[in-house]
Amino acid sequence: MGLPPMTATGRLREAFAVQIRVIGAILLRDMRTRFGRTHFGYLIAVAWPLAHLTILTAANVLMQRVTPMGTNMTIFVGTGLLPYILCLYPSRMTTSAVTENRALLLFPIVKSIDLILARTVLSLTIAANVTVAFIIIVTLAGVDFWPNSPVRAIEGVLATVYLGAAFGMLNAVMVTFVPGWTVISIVVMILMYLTSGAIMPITRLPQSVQDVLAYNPMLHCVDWLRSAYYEGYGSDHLDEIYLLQVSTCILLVALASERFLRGRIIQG
Amino acid sequence: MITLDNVFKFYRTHATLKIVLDHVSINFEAGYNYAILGINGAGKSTTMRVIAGTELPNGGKIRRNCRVSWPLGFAGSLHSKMTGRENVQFVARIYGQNARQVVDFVEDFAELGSYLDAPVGTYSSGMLQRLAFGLSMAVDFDCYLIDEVIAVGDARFRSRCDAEFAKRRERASIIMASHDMASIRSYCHRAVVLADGQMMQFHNLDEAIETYRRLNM
Repeated sequence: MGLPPMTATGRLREAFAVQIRVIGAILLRDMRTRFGRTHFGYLIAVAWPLAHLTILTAANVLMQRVTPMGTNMTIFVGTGLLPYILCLYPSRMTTSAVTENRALLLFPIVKSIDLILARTVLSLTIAANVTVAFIIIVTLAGVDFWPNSPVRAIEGVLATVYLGAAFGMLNAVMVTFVPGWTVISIVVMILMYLTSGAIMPITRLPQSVQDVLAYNPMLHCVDWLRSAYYEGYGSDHLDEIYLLQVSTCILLVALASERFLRGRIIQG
Repeated sequence: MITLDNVFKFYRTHATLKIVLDHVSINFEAGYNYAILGINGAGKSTTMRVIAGTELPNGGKIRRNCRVSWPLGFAGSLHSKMTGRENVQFVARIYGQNARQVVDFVEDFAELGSYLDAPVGTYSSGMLQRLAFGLSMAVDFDCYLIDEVIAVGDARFRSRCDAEFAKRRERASIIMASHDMASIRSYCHRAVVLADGQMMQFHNLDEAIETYRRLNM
């Protein structure tokens, strides 16, 4: 009876194996149940943000006559909207990680952080699929969406996804004890989008306003992605390190609050 | 097996602070079955959840050096839109058991027939209980935590539960909270009386039950 005594590394390795197993099981369960009980559930979860992104892009391309930048309107609008969608949807999905799956915490082997990590991984796969599908759709529509620098484009997308994932994890913790947090987070996300220069470049605004808007991390996501398409773009605002710092801070706050509020998160 | 080290646990009701465990240190030794006795409201269920790890203590440490079950007998974490089979597979996966073996066992034990592939939300309460019990017997735990109920269902199924559970007890220990002295006498070697945030450990069941009786007066 009982387990043989283990070394500290052995215990750590065992705990890690258990956690991977649990996260994998929650992931499978979420894919089956999160989107309704159909086999198309996961496809719908990808199609929803994709439709949002495609329709917004198409609408903006049709509405604006002259592109503020470069020669291709679709590239300008698409690179502006993609960061918004890649932040909004994954973070929204992770937000309900604990509240929707709280019943699983009745199994002591399942920890609240497992619920959050499983949902984060799921939302990352959706973000990846949305990005690839969007590029395919735009290309099929006859637009050359291939960036000047594919490496920078991938970096920009990854940095954006990192911001969205960190936000989502913070939301997942906060919604468990701050009433109305979901609304607050969506409003913040929309404000970040509106001031990110996605549709209207902020360079048209007074310098003092630009300096304030430069604190918006999503502005740097847009600039990072556009710098992969436009030569010399964003050199006056883009600060990659700032974006990574903000995301990392959000992530650390999320993990720290999960650690210290775990007892309350579990009890709900 | 399970050690509580200076564990402090309270919860808030409307206006008052209810202290369940007031800096309790106790060691549940492997090889013995323990009963937890206490009057209604003493905090037996909370204590069970703290021992299981589904609630965290407000202070102190709990060490478990064996596989401890969840508090047995609930059907709360079965997903109502997933089928019985999918729920069983999930639990098998998180506990690292062979999913097919566990499904086979539960299929055989819970006698749900074709309902195993129906959403759990369509089950009767009896079917839910049978599934939940079958599931808790399907995972090999070293220590089973039981809050009041062991056997569920009709007389025939209840005797199957007892038989299956007897097999488990050959290899595993149990910690049970119950008001039923008959089942405590038949299952447990030792007892802990929970009162006023303290845990009194008794190696002799009769003394424990006597103490518990006096608390009830």
